[in-house]
Amino acid sequence: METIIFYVFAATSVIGSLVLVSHKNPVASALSLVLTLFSTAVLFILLLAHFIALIQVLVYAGAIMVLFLFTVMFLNLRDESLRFDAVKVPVKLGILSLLLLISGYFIFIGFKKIPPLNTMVISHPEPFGTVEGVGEVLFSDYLLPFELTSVLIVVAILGVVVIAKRRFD
Amino acid sequence: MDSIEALRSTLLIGPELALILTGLIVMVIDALIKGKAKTELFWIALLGLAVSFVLNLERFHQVSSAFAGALSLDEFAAYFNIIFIVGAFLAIVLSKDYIAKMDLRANEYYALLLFSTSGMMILSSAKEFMSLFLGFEIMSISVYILSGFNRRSTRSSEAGIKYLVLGGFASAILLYGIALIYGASGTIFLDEIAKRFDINNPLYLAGTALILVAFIFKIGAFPLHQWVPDIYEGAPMAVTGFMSVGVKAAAFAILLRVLFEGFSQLETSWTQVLWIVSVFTMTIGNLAALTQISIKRMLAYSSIAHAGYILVGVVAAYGEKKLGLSSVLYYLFSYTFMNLGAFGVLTYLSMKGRECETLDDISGLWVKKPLTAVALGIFMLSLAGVPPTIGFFAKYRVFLSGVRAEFYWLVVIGILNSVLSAYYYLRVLVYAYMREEKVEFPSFKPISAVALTILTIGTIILGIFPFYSWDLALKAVDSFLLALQAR
Amino acid sequence: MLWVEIGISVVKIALVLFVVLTLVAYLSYAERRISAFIQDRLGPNRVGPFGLLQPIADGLKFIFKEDIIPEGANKPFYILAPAFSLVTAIIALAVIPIGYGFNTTFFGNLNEPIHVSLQIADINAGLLYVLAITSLGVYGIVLGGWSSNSKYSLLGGIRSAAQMISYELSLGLSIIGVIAIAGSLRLYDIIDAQAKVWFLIPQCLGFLVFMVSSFAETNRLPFDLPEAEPELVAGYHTEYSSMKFAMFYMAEYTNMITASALAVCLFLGGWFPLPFGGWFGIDIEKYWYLPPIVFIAKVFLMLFFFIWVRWTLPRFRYDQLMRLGWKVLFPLAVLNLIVTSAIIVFV
Repeated sequence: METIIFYVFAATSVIGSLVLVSHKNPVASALSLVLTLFSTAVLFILLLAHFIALIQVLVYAGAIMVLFLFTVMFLNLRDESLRFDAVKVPVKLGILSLLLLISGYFIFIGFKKIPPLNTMVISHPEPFGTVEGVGEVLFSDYLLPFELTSVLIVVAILGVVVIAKRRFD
Repeated sequence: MDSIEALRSTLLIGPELALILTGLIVMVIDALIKGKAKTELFWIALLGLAVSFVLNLERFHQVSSAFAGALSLDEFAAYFNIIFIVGAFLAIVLSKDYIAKMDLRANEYYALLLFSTSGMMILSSAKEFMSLFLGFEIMSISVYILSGFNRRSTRSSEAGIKYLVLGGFASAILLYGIALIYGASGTIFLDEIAKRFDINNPLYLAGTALILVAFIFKIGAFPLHQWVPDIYEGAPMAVTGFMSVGVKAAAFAILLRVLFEGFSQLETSWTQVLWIVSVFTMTIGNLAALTQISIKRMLAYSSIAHAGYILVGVVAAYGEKKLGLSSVLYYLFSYTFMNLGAFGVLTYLSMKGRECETLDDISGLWVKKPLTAVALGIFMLSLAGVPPTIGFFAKYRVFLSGVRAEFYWLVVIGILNSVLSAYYYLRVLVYAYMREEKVEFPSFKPISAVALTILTIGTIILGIFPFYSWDLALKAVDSFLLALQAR
Repeated sequence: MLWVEIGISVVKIALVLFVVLTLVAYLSYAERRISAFIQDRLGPNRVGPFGLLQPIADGLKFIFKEDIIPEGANKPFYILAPAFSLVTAIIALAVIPIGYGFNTTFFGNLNEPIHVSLQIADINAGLLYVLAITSLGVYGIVLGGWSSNSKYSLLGGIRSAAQMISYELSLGLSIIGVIAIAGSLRLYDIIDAQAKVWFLIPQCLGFLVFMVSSFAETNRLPFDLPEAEPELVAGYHTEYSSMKFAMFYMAEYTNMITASALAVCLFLGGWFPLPFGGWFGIDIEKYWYLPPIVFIAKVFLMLFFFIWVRWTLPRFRYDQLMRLGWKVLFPLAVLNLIVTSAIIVFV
């Protein structure tokens, strides 16, 4: 059951991201990103990280992507302004060859040395992935990154103020 | 980690906190007051940096670690912190008149500089990937904004956008590398990663490679150096100065920390990579700088070339750990003075609404402003590596460590490059001393003049008496190596 | 045993779907009757006794109307948008518990009694789930507005995106006080924590912010800027007709039900009949059907409140809306959060 769900949503997220980079219409791209984020959230649930999954949907799919879509719609880009056929083919070829390169690397050099998957499964203690579990490590073991994030957000807000401020009069 | 440890750690990161708090204070006061008084926020920013500097000195006496090992508050970090704080301090001093001249009228500027510096300080002491990444982003995002700060200038906006997009890619690559390493090892602490590092696991190799790519981008080395000229040229002059010394030093700090503490098992491999990178960085930087008419762009290319020289030290650390690393630290320290000085002169000479940029803008400087011309001469000679200056000693140490570590070819290429670079540094002096005056020069500005005087004296005095700062670098590297051996 | 559980879930899902969709149909009837009462009119009273069959007539009419897709519309998105709206609106209800549940052996068919809970899914972070899913609902509106290829629709879509994002913040912040007191994000636990006193009383400020934000989130008057009839001619669904139009309407009413149910869960004591004292010693195990009755009665009252407000207050102007959201509600929610957490920590 879980395996089926995994493959379905893993495939969805990969397809979503492929559509994201290849679609001509920016709105469609944004929506396929939402799809990808949503499927990734399902994968998080399969990993028992419920909190992260819900936050992923709430913050990324529910808020950030809406703003994206908002901006895209506001700019109301016409298809003509998004033509990039001249570079399209090389870009696609480049992506393809890069993928080949990476997979080739893994197949010929790395494959036999990757430890078997079952040894990498880590058992999770009870509160793992719940709000309590995440909250507890966030405010103890990862206190510093947590606080630093707030500094980062202040910096980002400052940036927005600088950019959005009225032009000097 | 319990609350007592959290409290203890919070007290230990005084220098970083001082900067963050000053940044917040500047922000809040800026929102509360109106009119001319805003420019005086400058003094608060300087005060914060001074406090941070003093608190940071404490770390040379007492090495500690904070937040359950997330930060290593050692002498290595403290040495880098001195570079950042001095760089930020002088950049702010230089900025005051510049802001007035360019009519930027914005005090987010000081807050952003302070935040950026605090990000660098976190970066220099981070021993854990999450704090590392956050420090990296705090530093980078502040600098992106600062690059695009002059909204009247399209070039500045362009620089901001370009830096944001390209830097965003670099951050994403870094994050991807971190994710692979974390996936393979199950930890984000560098020393734990070093213990679990398995050369045969391709995840570690791919992760190391991606992280290295991100760092190479930040130090502006080949093949990811293309962003440097455009962004250095577009950003406001004072910001460029700060960026070229602070961000570069921070990137080197974290490069050394991650490579030596986390990925030391791959030392042979990445030394080879950096050897190639170093050669190309020096050569391409210098060759491109030769043809530049804009001094600002020339200095951007020269900063690429200098990244190449510094990488010689990193490579040399393969054979000569102590000498190689301390030469890197010392080079970055001296580079702060000479490069900030070079940008400082240009900042000082900028006219209202127009930056001093091309060679024509400084021709005839000697006749009109002899003292400024002398300062410019000293900085250029120092950048070229001419003996009595700090730049000579730094280059000497780097190349010496390369010879000791038996990377002869690298050193030969480095020296040849150094000779080549003299051409374009000296060309600036030809224009400043021997050509006719073409444009007007601005009047005397006391605050900027103070900064330039400090920088000039530093470049000379530290060049003639390098012993104290060199010893400090040795001491810093000692503490770094000691921690490496301890595990 | 597994099959029994799956069967129970399927039955519950079907039941909720049926109840919600019927309720939605009758909400439109209620809306018209109540508005008529408020405006001293009669309202629909011809089809069936008191006009009670009116929703069925409406539904039939919707089905037989011509389904128009405007020229230049982005067809896939145009079709997707109303479905997306309705689906997200309905699945948000999955975690709302309406009672303690009961034990049954299905008339002796099972060897041991099985517990049937009165909610579809008991998720540990159920509250977050509701917020996450409802936050997706905006896509339906934005897409509908964008894909119609009409300026009114586009304006409606853009407005709604801005509005929903702005008010989601204060909505989310306003309920953190409740979470802090209850110590859980599970809706079941949150209701149970109100046995002594409804959270309405300690969290009255939070409730105020929550209610105002819910009105904005459900695009109801006084915040129905995305569909403001006089200026945008129904905004994002101007171009829609037939069942697609009906789906948008159903989504709106379903959202109203979700918002009401959430308000009941978080602030109005869930299934506890009075603000104080829990169940007064009634044996809930035995009378397990009492909590759902109380809960649903409260939801009906809240729904009435929604309709009442719609026909009482005038619409905000757009700048007023934004100012209220960012400069009044958001600070109030933060204040509420600070005071609440200070009291929890220090008292």
